[in-house]
Amino acid sequence: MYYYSFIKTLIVALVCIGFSFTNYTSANEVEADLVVQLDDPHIQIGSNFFGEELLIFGAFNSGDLSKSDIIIKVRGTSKSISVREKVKKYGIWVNSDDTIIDNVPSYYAIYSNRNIQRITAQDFLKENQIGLEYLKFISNEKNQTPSIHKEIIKKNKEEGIFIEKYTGVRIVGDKLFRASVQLPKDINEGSYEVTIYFFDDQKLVDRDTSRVFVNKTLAGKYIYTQANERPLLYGIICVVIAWIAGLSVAGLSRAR
Amino acid sequence: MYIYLPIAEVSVNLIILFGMGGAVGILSGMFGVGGGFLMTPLLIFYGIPPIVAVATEANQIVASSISGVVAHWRRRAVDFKMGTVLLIGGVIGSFLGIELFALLKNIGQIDLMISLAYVLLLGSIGSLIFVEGIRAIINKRNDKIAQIRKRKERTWVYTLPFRVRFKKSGLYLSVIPPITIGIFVGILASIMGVGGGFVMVPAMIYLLRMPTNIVIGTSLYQIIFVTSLVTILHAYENQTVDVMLAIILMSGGVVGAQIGAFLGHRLKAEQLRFLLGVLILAVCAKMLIELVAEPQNIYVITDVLL
Repeated sequence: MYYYSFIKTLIVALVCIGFSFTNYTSANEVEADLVVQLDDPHIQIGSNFFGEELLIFGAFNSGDLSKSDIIIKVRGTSKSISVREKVKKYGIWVNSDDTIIDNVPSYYAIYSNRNIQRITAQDFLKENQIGLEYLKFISNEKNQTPSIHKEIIKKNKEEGIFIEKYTGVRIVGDKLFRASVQLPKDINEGSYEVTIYFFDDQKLVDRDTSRVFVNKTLAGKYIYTQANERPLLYGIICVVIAWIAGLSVAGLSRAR
Repeated sequence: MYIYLPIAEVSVNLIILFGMGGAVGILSGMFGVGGGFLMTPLLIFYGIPPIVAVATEANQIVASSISGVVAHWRRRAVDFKMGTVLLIGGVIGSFLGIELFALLKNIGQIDLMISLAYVLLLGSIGSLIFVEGIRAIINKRNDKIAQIRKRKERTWVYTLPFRVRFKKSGLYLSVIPPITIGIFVGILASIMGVGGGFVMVPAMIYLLRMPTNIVIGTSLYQIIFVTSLVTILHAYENQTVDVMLAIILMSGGVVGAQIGAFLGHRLKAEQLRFLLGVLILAVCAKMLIELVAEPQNIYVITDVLL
Protein backbone atom coordinates (compact mmCIF):
# COMPACT_ATOMS: atom_id res chain seq x y z
CA MET A 1 0.00 0.00 0.00
CA TYR A 2 2.59 2.54 1.12
CA TYR A 3 4.93 1.48 -1.62
CA TYR A 4 2.25 1.98 -4.21
CA SER A 5 1.30 5.46 -3.03
CA PHE A 6 4.96 6.40 -2.83
CA ILE A 7 5.45 5.50 -6.49
CA LYS A 8 2.30 7.42 -7.33
CA THR A 9 3.54 10.52 -5.55
CA LEU A 10 6.88 10.23 -7.28
CA ILE A 11 5.25 10.10 -10.71
CA VAL A 12 3.07 13.09 -9.88
CA ALA A 13 6.09 15.02 -8.71
CA LEU A 14 7.99 14.23 -11.90
CA VAL A 15 5.06 15.18 -14.12
CA CYS A 16 4.60 18.42 -12.18
CA ILE A 17 8.23 19.26 -12.70
CA GLY A 18 7.79 18.42 -16.37
CA PHE A 19 4.80 20.71 -16.55
CA SER A 20 6.62 23.60 -14.97
CA PHE A 21 9.45 23.09 -17.37
CA THR A 22 7.27 23.34 -20.47
CA ASN A 23 5.53 26.36 -19.03
CA TYR A 24 8.75 28.20 -18.47
CA THR A 25 10.25 27.38 -21.84
CA SER A 26 7.13 28.20 -23.84
CA ALA A 27 6.39 31.38 -21.94
CA ASN A 28 6.25 33.47 -25.08
CA GLU A 29 3.73 31.31 -26.89
CA VAL A 30 -0.05 31.46 -26.38
CA GLU A 31 -0.96 28.92 -23.73
CA ALA A 32 -4.14 27.54 -22.18
CA ASP A 33 -5.16 29.09 -18.88
CA LEU A 34 -5.72 25.71 -17.32
CA VAL A 35 -4.16 22.32 -18.01
CA VAL A 36 -5.38 19.34 -16.05
CA GLN A 37 -4.14 15.80 -15.72
CA LEU A 38 -5.89 12.95 -13.90
CA ASP A 39 -3.60 10.35 -12.50
CA ASP A 40 -5.84 7.44 -13.34
CA PRO A 41 -9.11 7.77 -15.27
CA HIS A 42 -10.09 4.17 -14.40
CA ILE A 43 -10.57 3.34 -10.74
CA GLN A 44 -10.99 -0.30 -9.82
CA ILE A 45 -12.74 -1.59 -6.71
CA GLY A 46 -11.43 -5.03 -5.81
CA SER A 47 -12.70 -7.37 -3.09
CA ASN A 48 -10.21 -6.04 -0.55
CA PHE A 49 -11.14 -2.44 -1.07
CA PHE A 50 -9.99 0.17 1.44
CA GLY A 51 -10.80 3.26 -0.52
CA GLU A 52 -8.85 4.84 -3.31
CA GLU A 53 -7.51 8.27 -3.96
CA LEU A 54 -7.83 10.08 -7.22
CA LEU A 55 -4.85 12.30 -7.90
CA ILE A 56 -5.56 15.43 -9.89
CA PHE A 57 -2.82 17.80 -10.89
CA GLY A 58 -2.26 20.52 -13.41
CA ALA A 59 -1.05 23.97 -14.19
CA PHE A 60 -2.80 27.32 -14.44
CA ASN A 61 -1.69 30.56 -15.95
CA SER A 62 -1.83 32.98 -13.10
CA GLY A 63 -1.62 36.73 -13.28
CA ASP A 64 -1.47 37.37 -9.57
CA LEU A 65 -0.92 34.27 -7.51
CA SER A 66 -2.54 35.67 -4.37
CA LYS A 67 -5.80 36.15 -6.30
CA SER A 68 -5.79 32.77 -8.08
CA ASP A 69 -8.08 30.02 -6.84
CA ILE A 70 -8.85 26.45 -7.85
CA ILE A 71 -12.04 24.52 -7.07
CA ILE A 72 -12.38 20.85 -7.93
CA LYS A 73 -15.82 19.25 -8.09
CA VAL A 74 -16.21 15.49 -8.44
CA ARG A 75 -19.73 14.20 -8.89
CA GLY A 76 -20.82 10.56 -9.20
CA THR A 77 -23.88 9.28 -10.98
CA SER A 78 -27.26 10.47 -9.72
CA LYS A 79 -29.53 8.12 -7.83
CA SER A 80 -32.89 8.08 -6.11
CA ILE A 81 -33.20 7.50 -2.40
CA SER A 82 -36.06 6.81 -0.07
CA VAL A 83 -36.26 8.68 3.21
CA ARG A 84 -38.42 7.46 6.07
CA GLU A 85 -38.87 9.24 9.34
CA LYS A 86 -38.87 7.16 12.51
CA VAL A 87 -41.84 7.80 14.78
CA LYS A 88 -42.59 6.33 18.16
CA LYS A 89 -45.66 4.09 18.16
CA TYR A 90 -46.71 1.83 21.05
CA GLY A 91 -43.32 2.43 22.68
CA ILE A 92 -41.19 1.30 19.74
CA TRP A 93 -39.71 3.20 16.84
CA VAL A 94 -41.49 2.55 13.56
CA ASN A 95 -40.75 3.79 10.05
CA SER A 96 -43.25 6.19 8.54
CA ASP A 97 -44.17 6.36 4.83
CA ASP A 98 -41.32 7.22 2.55
CA THR A 99 -40.43 10.32 0.57
CA ILE A 100 -38.58 9.71 -2.67
CA ILE A 101 -35.71 12.09 -3.38
CA ASP A 102 -34.19 12.07 -6.88
CA ASN A 103 -31.01 13.53 -8.32
CA VAL A 104 -28.88 12.68 -5.31
CA PRO A 105 -25.25 12.19 -6.34
CA SER A 106 -23.81 8.79 -5.44
CA TYR A 107 -20.59 10.66 -4.68
CA TYR A 108 -19.86 14.37 -4.37
CA ALA A 109 -16.64 16.12 -3.44
CA ILE A 110 -15.54 19.74 -3.36
CA TYR A 111 -11.83 20.39 -3.00
CA SER A 112 -10.46 23.89 -3.05
CA ASN A 113 -7.49 25.94 -1.86
CA ARG A 114 -9.63 28.07 0.48
CA ASN A 115 -13.22 28.64 1.57
CA ILE A 116 -15.33 28.60 -1.60
CA GLN A 117 -17.55 31.41 -0.30
CA ARG A 118 -14.53 33.72 -0.49
CA ILE A 119 -13.43 32.46 -3.89
CA THR A 120 -16.41 33.62 -5.90
CA ALA A 121 -19.96 34.94 -5.81
CA GLN A 122 -22.77 32.90 -4.27
CA ASP A 123 -24.82 33.01 -7.48
CA PHE A 124 -22.11 31.23 -9.39
CA LEU A 125 -21.81 28.52 -6.71
CA LYS A 126 -25.57 28.07 -6.65
CA GLU A 127 -25.86 27.85 -10.41
CA ASN A 128 -23.11 25.26 -10.76
CA GLN A 129 -24.07 23.38 -7.57
CA ILE A 130 -20.66 23.94 -6.04
CA GLY A 131 -20.79 23.25 -2.32
CA LEU A 132 -22.96 20.87 -0.31
CA GLU A 133 -25.50 23.52 0.62
CA TYR A 134 -26.14 24.28 -3.05
CA LEU A 135 -26.86 20.69 -4.09
CA LYS A 136 -30.29 20.48 -5.67
CA PHE A 137 -32.36 17.38 -5.00
CA ILE A 138 -35.73 16.65 -6.57
CA SER A 139 -38.53 15.42 -4.35
CA ASN A 140 -41.97 13.96 -5.11
CA GLU A 141 -43.44 15.90 -2.21
CA LYS A 142 -44.33 19.54 -2.57
CA ASN A 143 -43.36 20.45 0.95
CA GLN A 144 -39.84 19.09 0.89
CA THR A 145 -38.55 19.87 4.34
CA PRO A 146 -35.09 21.37 4.65
CA SER A 147 -34.43 18.98 7.52
CA ILE A 148 -34.56 16.01 5.12
CA HIS A 149 -32.13 17.81 2.82
CA LYS A 150 -29.80 18.42 5.74
CA GLU A 151 -30.14 14.84 6.93
CA ILE A 152 -29.15 13.42 3.54
CA ILE A 153 -26.05 15.60 3.49
CA LYS A 154 -25.18 14.75 7.09
CA LYS A 155 -25.48 10.99 6.53
CA ASN A 156 -23.45 11.01 3.31
CA LYS A 157 -20.80 13.20 4.92
CA GLU A 158 -20.42 10.73 7.76
CA GLU A 159 -19.96 7.91 5.27
CA GLY A 160 -17.36 9.90 3.36
CA ILE A 161 -19.50 9.94 0.23
CA PHE A 162 -19.95 13.72 0.39
CA ILE A 163 -16.75 15.65 1.02
CA GLU A 164 -16.04 19.35 1.37
CA LYS A 165 -12.37 20.15 1.86
CA TYR A 166 -11.31 23.78 1.66
CA THR A 167 -7.68 22.82 2.13
CA GLY A 168 -7.76 19.99 -0.37
CA VAL A 169 -6.04 21.79 -3.24
CA ARG A 170 -2.35 22.51 -2.77
CA ILE A 171 -0.83 25.24 -4.88
CA VAL A 172 2.78 24.44 -5.65
CA GLY A 173 5.11 27.14 -6.93
CA ASP A 174 3.33 29.85 -8.87
CA LYS A 175 1.33 27.88 -11.44
CA LEU A 176 0.89 24.29 -10.31
CA PHE A 177 -1.77 22.65 -8.23
CA ARG A 178 -2.46 19.18 -6.98
CA ALA A 179 -5.19 17.45 -5.04
CA SER A 180 -5.77 13.95 -3.81
CA VAL A 181 -9.50 13.26 -3.81
CA GLN A 182 -10.61 10.57 -1.40
CA LEU A 183 -12.90 7.89 -2.81
CA PRO A 184 -14.38 5.87 0.10
CA LYS A 185 -14.58 2.10 0.29
CA ASP A 186 -18.31 1.64 -0.30
CA ILE A 187 -18.54 3.65 -3.50
CA ASN A 188 -20.95 3.14 -6.40
CA GLU A 189 -19.92 2.13 -9.88
CA GLY A 190 -20.26 4.53 -12.75
CA SER A 191 -18.87 7.49 -14.60
CA TYR A 192 -17.78 10.34 -12.34
CA GLU A 193 -17.58 13.89 -13.60
CA VAL A 194 -14.53 15.89 -12.56
CA THR A 195 -14.74 19.64 -13.08
CA ILE A 196 -11.91 22.01 -12.28
CA TYR A 197 -12.63 25.74 -12.02
CA PHE A 198 -9.87 28.27 -12.19
CA PHE A 199 -10.65 31.72 -10.78
CA ASP A 200 -8.62 34.86 -11.03
CA ASP A 201 -9.74 37.64 -8.76
CA GLN A 202 -13.18 36.04 -8.13
CA LYS A 203 -13.86 35.64 -11.84
CA LEU A 204 -13.95 32.32 -13.65
CA VAL A 205 -11.08 32.22 -16.12
CA ASP A 206 -11.30 28.66 -17.34
CA ARG A 207 -12.88 25.33 -16.55
CA ASP A 208 -12.01 21.81 -17.47
CA THR A 209 -14.32 18.79 -17.35
CA SER A 210 -13.20 15.20 -17.58
CA ARG A 211 -14.53 11.81 -16.55
CA VAL A 212 -13.33 9.06 -14.28
CA PHE A 213 -14.74 5.56 -14.53
CA VAL A 214 -15.21 3.60 -11.33
CA ASN A 215 -15.58 -0.15 -11.77
CA LYS A 216 -16.08 -3.04 -9.41
CA THR A 217 -13.68 -5.77 -10.38
CA LEU A 218 -12.91 -9.42 -9.73
CA ALA A 219 -15.18 -11.60 -7.66
CA GLY A 220 -17.16 -8.70 -6.26
CA LYS A 221 -18.40 -7.46 -9.59
CA TYR A 222 -18.93 -10.95 -10.98
CA ILE A 223 -20.99 -12.07 -8.00
CA TYR A 224 -23.08 -8.91 -8.04
CA THR A 225 -23.88 -9.28 -11.74
CA GLN A 226 -24.76 -12.95 -11.45
CA ALA A 227 -27.00 -12.35 -8.43
CA ASN A 228 -28.93 -9.67 -10.26
CA GLU A 229 -29.03 -11.00 -13.79
CA ARG A 230 -29.43 -14.74 -13.17
CA PRO A 231 -30.99 -14.78 -9.69
CA LEU A 232 -32.41 -18.31 -9.93
CA LEU A 233 -29.17 -19.88 -11.11
CA TYR A 234 -27.24 -17.86 -8.52
CA GLY A 235 -29.52 -19.09 -5.73
CA ILE A 236 -29.12 -22.70 -6.85
CA ILE A 237 -25.33 -22.30 -6.96
CA CYS A 238 -25.34 -20.88 -3.41
CA VAL A 239 -27.26 -23.93 -2.23
CA VAL A 240 -24.99 -26.33 -4.11
CA ILE A 241 -21.95 -24.73 -2.45
CA ALA A 242 -23.59 -25.22 0.94
CA TRP A 243 -24.38 -28.88 0.14
CA ILE A 244 -20.81 -29.55 -0.94
CA ALA A 245 -19.45 -27.80 2.17
CA GLY A 246 -21.79 -29.71 4.46
CA LEU A 247 -21.11 -33.09 2.86
CA SER A 248 -17.35 -32.64 2.89
CA VAL A 249 -17.41 -31.70 6.59
CA ALA A 250 -19.48 -34.81 7.26
CA GLY A 251 -17.02 -36.86 5.20
CA LEU A 252 -14.07 -35.43 7.13
CA SER A 253 -15.54 -36.23 10.54
CA ARG A 254 -16.28 -39.79 9.37
CA ALA A 255 -12.69 -40.23 8.19
CA ARG A 256 -11.36 -39.52 11.68
CA MET B 1 -8.00 -7.96 6.72
CA TYR B 2 -10.96 -6.28 5.10
CA ILE B 3 -13.09 -7.77 2.41
CA TYR B 4 -15.87 -6.23 0.34
CA LEU B 5 -19.13 -8.15 0.37
CA PRO B 6 -20.68 -7.73 -3.09
CA ILE B 7 -24.35 -8.18 -2.13
CA ALA B 8 -24.36 -6.65 1.35
CA GLU B 9 -22.31 -3.81 -0.20
CA VAL B 10 -20.22 -3.23 2.90
CA SER B 11 -16.58 -3.82 3.71
CA VAL B 12 -16.17 -6.15 6.65
CA ASN B 13 -13.32 -7.46 8.73
CA LEU B 14 -12.68 -11.04 7.64
CA ILE B 15 -11.25 -12.05 11.03
CA ILE B 16 -14.26 -10.75 12.94
CA LEU B 17 -16.76 -12.50 10.66
CA PHE B 18 -14.78 -15.72 10.75
CA GLY B 19 -14.68 -15.41 14.53
CA MET B 20 -18.43 -14.86 14.69
CA GLY B 21 -18.99 -17.97 12.55
CA GLY B 22 -16.61 -19.84 14.82
CA ALA B 23 -18.21 -18.63 18.07
CA VAL B 24 -21.70 -19.56 16.93
CA GLY B 25 -20.27 -22.85 15.63
CA ILE B 26 -18.85 -23.58 19.10
CA LEU B 27 -22.26 -22.92 20.63
CA SER B 28 -24.04 -25.14 18.13
CA GLY B 29 -21.47 -27.86 18.70
CA MET B 30 -21.92 -27.55 22.47
CA PHE B 31 -25.68 -27.27 22.63
CA GLY B 32 -26.71 -29.10 19.49
CA VAL B 33 -28.63 -26.09 18.19
CA GLY B 34 -28.35 -24.73 14.65
CA GLY B 35 -27.26 -21.30 15.75
CA GLY B 36 -29.19 -19.34 13.14
CA PHE B 37 -31.17 -17.51 15.80
CA LEU B 38 -27.89 -16.17 17.22
CA MET B 39 -26.01 -15.64 13.97
CA THR B 40 -28.62 -13.48 12.25
CA PRO B 41 -28.84 -10.93 15.13
CA LEU B 42 -25.03 -10.86 15.38
CA LEU B 43 -24.75 -10.09 11.66
CA ILE B 44 -27.32 -7.31 12.05
CA PHE B 45 -25.45 -5.86 15.05
CA TYR B 46 -22.27 -5.94 12.97
CA GLY B 47 -23.88 -3.82 10.27
CA ILE B 48 -25.00 -6.28 7.63
CA PRO B 49 -28.39 -5.17 6.25
CA PRO B 50 -31.07 -7.31 7.98
CA ILE B 51 -32.53 -8.60 4.71
CA VAL B 52 -29.09 -9.81 3.59
CA ALA B 53 -28.37 -11.29 7.03
CA VAL B 54 -31.59 -13.33 6.96
CA ALA B 55 -31.15 -14.71 3.44
CA THR B 56 -27.45 -15.47 3.82
CA GLU B 57 -27.88 -17.15 7.18
CA ALA B 58 -30.47 -19.50 5.62
CA ASN B 59 -27.75 -20.46 3.13
CA GLN B 60 -25.26 -21.18 5.91
CA ILE B 61 -27.73 -23.34 7.83
CA VAL B 62 -28.02 -25.61 4.78
CA ALA B 63 -24.35 -26.51 5.18
CA SER B 64 -24.36 -26.95 8.95
CA SER B 65 -27.55 -29.05 8.87
CA ILE B 66 -26.18 -31.38 6.19
CA SER B 67 -23.02 -32.04 8.15
CA GLY B 68 -25.23 -32.67 11.20
CA VAL B 69 -27.77 -34.97 9.57
CA VAL B 70 -25.21 -37.41 8.20
CA ALA B 71 -24.25 -38.55 11.70
CA HIS B 72 -27.91 -39.15 12.61
CA TRP B 73 -28.54 -40.90 9.32
CA ARG B 74 -25.69 -43.32 9.98
CA ARG B 75 -27.26 -44.14 13.33
CA ARG B 76 -30.60 -44.62 11.51
CA ALA B 77 -32.05 -41.87 13.71
CA VAL B 78 -34.10 -40.13 10.99
CA ASP B 79 -37.80 -40.70 10.34
CA PHE B 80 -37.86 -39.88 6.64
CA LYS B 81 -41.63 -40.23 6.32
CA MET B 82 -42.33 -37.81 9.18
CA GLY B 83 -39.56 -35.54 7.88
CA THR B 84 -41.17 -35.43 4.45
CA VAL B 85 -44.60 -34.55 5.87
CA LEU B 86 -42.95 -31.76 7.89
CA LEU B 87 -41.19 -30.72 4.71
CA ILE B 88 -44.44 -30.41 2.75
CA GLY B 89 -45.60 -27.95 5.40
CA GLY B 90 -42.18 -26.27 5.26
CA VAL B 91 -42.43 -25.69 1.51
CA ILE B 92 -45.88 -24.08 1.87
CA GLY B 93 -44.60 -21.99 4.78
CA SER B 94 -41.51 -20.83 2.87
CA PHE B 95 -43.56 -19.51 -0.02
CA LEU B 96 -45.96 -17.78 2.39
CA GLY B 97 -43.01 -16.35 4.33
CA ILE B 98 -41.28 -15.00 1.24
CA GLU B 99 -44.51 -13.33 0.09
CA LEU B 100 -44.92 -11.74 3.52
CA PHE B 101 -41.26 -10.70 3.43
CA ALA B 102 -41.68 -9.01 0.03
CA LEU B 103 -44.84 -7.26 1.19
CA LEU B 104 -43.19 -5.91 4.35
CA LYS B 105 -40.12 -4.90 2.37
CA ASN B 106 -42.26 -2.86 0.01
CA ILE B 107 -43.95 -0.92 2.80
CA GLY B 108 -40.55 -0.41 4.48
CA GLN B 109 -41.31 -2.32 7.67
CA ILE B 110 -39.25 -5.47 7.11
CA ASP B 111 -36.34 -4.48 9.38
CA LEU B 112 -38.81 -3.73 12.16
CA MET B 113 -40.60 -7.06 11.65
CA ILE B 114 -37.32 -9.01 11.73
CA SER B 115 -36.35 -7.32 15.01
CA LEU B 116 -39.80 -7.81 16.56
CA ALA B 117 -39.89 -11.48 15.56
CA TYR B 118 -36.49 -11.97 17.15
CA VAL B 119 -37.39 -10.20 20.38
CA LEU B 120 -40.54 -12.29 20.68
CA LEU B 121 -38.94 -15.60 19.82
CA LEU B 122 -35.62 -15.16 21.64
CA GLY B 123 -37.48 -13.76 24.64
CA SER B 124 -39.78 -16.76 24.99
CA ILE B 125 -37.24 -19.46 24.08
CA GLY B 126 -34.55 -17.84 26.21
CA SER B 127 -36.76 -17.60 29.31
CA LEU B 128 -37.95 -21.20 28.86
CA ILE B 129 -34.40 -22.54 28.64
CA PHE B 130 -33.27 -20.27 31.46
CA VAL B 131 -36.04 -21.36 33.84
CA GLU B 132 -35.60 -25.00 32.87
CA GLY B 133 -31.87 -24.67 33.42
CA ILE B 134 -32.29 -23.20 36.90
CA ARG B 135 -34.84 -25.84 37.83
CA ALA B 136 -32.51 -28.58 36.62
CA ILE B 137 -29.64 -27.23 38.66
CA ILE B 138 -31.75 -26.91 41.80
CA ASN B 139 -33.61 -30.23 41.52
CA LYS B 140 -31.81 -33.48 41.26
CA ARG B 141 -32.05 -35.38 38.05
CA ASN B 142 -34.06 -38.41 39.07
CA ASP B 143 -37.44 -36.79 39.70
CA LYS B 144 -37.20 -35.01 36.33
CA ILE B 145 -36.98 -38.27 34.39
CA ALA B 146 -40.08 -39.50 36.20
CA GLN B 147 -41.84 -36.34 35.07
CA ILE B 148 -41.08 -36.98 31.39
CA ARG B 149 -42.23 -40.60 31.63
CA LYS B 150 -45.59 -39.47 32.93
CA ARG B 151 -46.27 -37.37 29.85
CA LYS B 152 -46.72 -40.41 27.62
CA GLU B 153 -50.53 -40.21 27.46
CA ARG B 154 -52.21 -39.24 24.17
CA THR B 155 -53.79 -35.82 23.62
CA TRP B 156 -56.31 -34.04 21.35
CA VAL B 157 -53.72 -34.21 18.54
CA TYR B 158 -54.65 -37.85 18.16
CA THR B 159 -58.33 -37.13 17.50
CA LEU B 160 -57.67 -35.39 14.13
CA PRO B 161 -58.47 -37.03 10.75
CA PHE B 162 -56.11 -38.08 7.88
CA ARG B 163 -54.15 -40.45 10.07
CA VAL B 164 -51.01 -42.05 8.68
CA ARG B 165 -48.72 -44.69 10.16
CA PHE B 166 -45.19 -43.46 10.90
CA LYS B 167 -43.31 -46.72 11.41
CA LYS B 168 -39.99 -45.27 12.50
CA SER B 169 -41.57 -43.07 15.17
CA GLY B 170 -44.04 -45.78 16.13
CA LEU B 171 -46.97 -43.40 15.67
CA TYR B 172 -50.36 -43.54 14.01
CA LEU B 173 -51.10 -39.88 13.65
CA SER B 174 -52.98 -37.29 11.59
CA VAL B 175 -50.79 -35.41 9.06
CA ILE B 176 -52.40 -32.09 10.04
CA PRO B 177 -50.21 -31.35 13.10
CA PRO B 178 -46.85 -32.06 11.38
CA ILE B 179 -47.88 -30.07 8.30
CA THR B 180 -48.94 -27.15 10.51
CA ILE B 181 -45.64 -27.28 12.41
CA GLY B 182 -43.84 -27.41 9.04
CA ILE B 183 -45.68 -24.33 7.76
CA PHE B 184 -44.81 -22.36 10.89
CA VAL B 185 -41.16 -23.36 10.63
CA GLY B 186 -41.09 -22.45 6.91
CA ILE B 187 -42.39 -18.96 7.67
CA LEU B 188 -39.82 -18.54 10.44
CA ALA B 189 -37.03 -19.68 8.12
CA SER B 190 -37.87 -17.18 5.41
CA ILE B 191 -38.46 -14.18 7.68
CA MET B 192 -35.83 -14.78 10.34
CA GLY B 193 -33.11 -16.81 8.62
CA VAL B 194 -33.28 -19.63 11.15
CA GLY B 195 -33.61 -23.39 10.74
CA GLY B 196 -36.39 -23.46 13.29
CA GLY B 197 -35.10 -26.51 15.15
CA PHE B 198 -35.66 -24.78 18.49
CA VAL B 199 -39.40 -24.66 17.72
CA MET B 200 -39.70 -27.92 15.83
CA VAL B 201 -37.86 -30.14 18.30
CA PRO B 202 -40.03 -29.31 21.35
CA ALA B 203 -43.17 -29.51 19.17
CA MET B 204 -42.18 -32.97 17.94
CA ILE B 205 -41.47 -34.21 21.44
CA TYR B 206 -44.36 -32.74 23.36
CA LEU B 207 -47.06 -32.42 20.69
CA LEU B 208 -46.40 -35.33 18.36
CA ARG B 209 -44.89 -37.54 21.06
CA MET B 210 -42.06 -38.69 18.81
CA PRO B 211 -39.24 -40.73 20.40
CA THR B 212 -36.51 -38.28 21.49
CA ASN B 213 -33.65 -40.13 19.82
CA ILE B 214 -34.94 -39.55 16.28
CA VAL B 215 -36.25 -36.00 16.78
CA ILE B 216 -33.01 -34.11 16.03
CA GLY B 217 -32.14 -36.13 12.92
CA THR B 218 -35.65 -35.77 11.53
CA SER B 219 -35.79 -32.01 12.13
CA LEU B 220 -32.34 -31.55 10.53
CA TYR B 221 -33.55 -33.50 7.48
CA GLN B 222 -36.50 -31.11 7.12
CA ILE B 223 -34.32 -28.03 7.79
CA ILE B 224 -31.89 -28.90 4.98
CA PHE B 225 -34.57 -28.76 2.33
CA VAL B 226 -36.54 -25.85 3.76
CA THR B 227 -33.44 -23.63 4.11
CA SER B 228 -32.27 -24.68 0.63
CA LEU B 229 -35.61 -23.58 -0.78
CA VAL B 230 -35.60 -20.37 1.30
CA THR B 231 -32.11 -19.52 0.02
CA ILE B 232 -33.17 -19.96 -3.61
CA LEU B 233 -36.39 -17.97 -3.07
CA HIS B 234 -34.53 -15.09 -1.40
CA ALA B 235 -31.90 -15.09 -4.16
CA TYR B 236 -34.62 -15.10 -6.81
CA GLU B 237 -37.07 -12.62 -5.26
CA ASN B 238 -34.85 -10.21 -3.34
CA GLN B 239 -31.25 -10.77 -4.55
CA THR B 240 -30.10 -10.72 -0.94
CA VAL B 241 -27.99 -13.89 -0.62
CA ASP B 242 -24.33 -12.93 -0.24
CA VAL B 243 -22.38 -16.03 -1.22
CA MET B 244 -19.09 -14.51 -0.05
CA LEU B 245 -20.51 -13.88 3.42
CA ALA B 246 -22.05 -17.37 3.46
CA ILE B 247 -18.72 -19.02 2.66
CA ILE B 248 -16.92 -17.08 5.41
CA LEU B 249 -19.58 -18.06 7.96
CA MET B 250 -19.56 -21.69 6.80
CA SER B 251 -15.80 -22.02 7.23
CA GLY B 252 -15.91 -20.32 10.64
CA GLY B 253 -18.81 -22.54 11.64
CA VAL B 254 -17.03 -25.76 10.69
CA VAL B 255 -14.04 -24.98 12.89
CA GLY B 256 -16.26 -23.79 15.73
CA ALA B 257 -18.53 -26.83 15.69
CA GLN B 258 -15.55 -29.17 16.14
CA ILE B 259 -14.29 -27.19 19.15
CA GLY B 260 -17.84 -26.99 20.50
CA ALA B 261 -18.43 -30.73 20.31
CA PHE B 262 -15.15 -31.26 22.19
CA LEU B 263 -16.06 -28.72 24.89
CA GLY B 264 -19.61 -30.01 25.15
CA HIS B 265 -18.46 -33.38 26.47
CA ARG B 266 -16.51 -31.68 29.24
CA LEU B 267 -19.28 -29.50 30.72
CA LYS B 268 -22.44 -30.50 32.57
CA ALA B 269 -25.68 -30.42 30.58
CA GLU B 270 -27.56 -28.27 33.11
CA GLN B 271 -24.85 -25.65 33.21
CA LEU B 272 -24.77 -25.61 29.42
CA ARG B 273 -28.49 -25.03 29.18
CA PHE B 274 -28.35 -22.28 31.76
CA LEU B 275 -25.55 -20.58 29.81
CA LEU B 276 -27.43 -20.84 26.54
CA GLY B 277 -30.51 -19.29 28.15
CA VAL B 278 -28.46 -16.36 29.46
CA LEU B 279 -26.92 -15.84 26.04
CA ILE B 280 -30.22 -15.87 24.17
CA LEU B 281 -31.75 -13.44 26.66
CA ALA B 282 -28.76 -11.09 26.25
CA VAL B 283 -29.19 -10.99 22.46
CA CYS B 284 -32.92 -10.48 22.92
CA ALA B 285 -32.32 -7.58 25.32
CA LYS B 286 -29.94 -5.90 22.88
CA MET B 287 -32.53 -6.18 20.09
CA LEU B 288 -35.24 -4.82 22.35
CA ILE B 289 -33.09 -1.86 23.39
CA GLU B 290 -32.56 -0.96 19.75
CA LEU B 291 -36.31 -0.97 19.17
CA VAL B 292 -37.20 1.13 22.22
CA ALA B 293 -34.26 3.50 22.59
CA GLU B 294 -34.27 6.82 20.79
CA PRO B 295 -32.61 6.12 17.41
CA GLN B 296 -29.39 7.92 16.59
CA ASN B 297 -30.75 8.82 13.21
CA ILE B 298 -34.37 9.81 13.07
CA TYR B 299 -34.36 9.41 9.29
CA VAL B 300 -33.85 6.11 7.53
CA ILE B 301 -32.22 6.67 4.16
CA THR B 302 -31.99 3.87 1.62
CA ASP B 303 -31.22 3.67 -2.09
CA VAL B 304 -34.16 3.14 -4.40
CA LEU B 305 -33.38 0.38 -6.88
CA LEU B 306 -34.85 0.98 -10.29
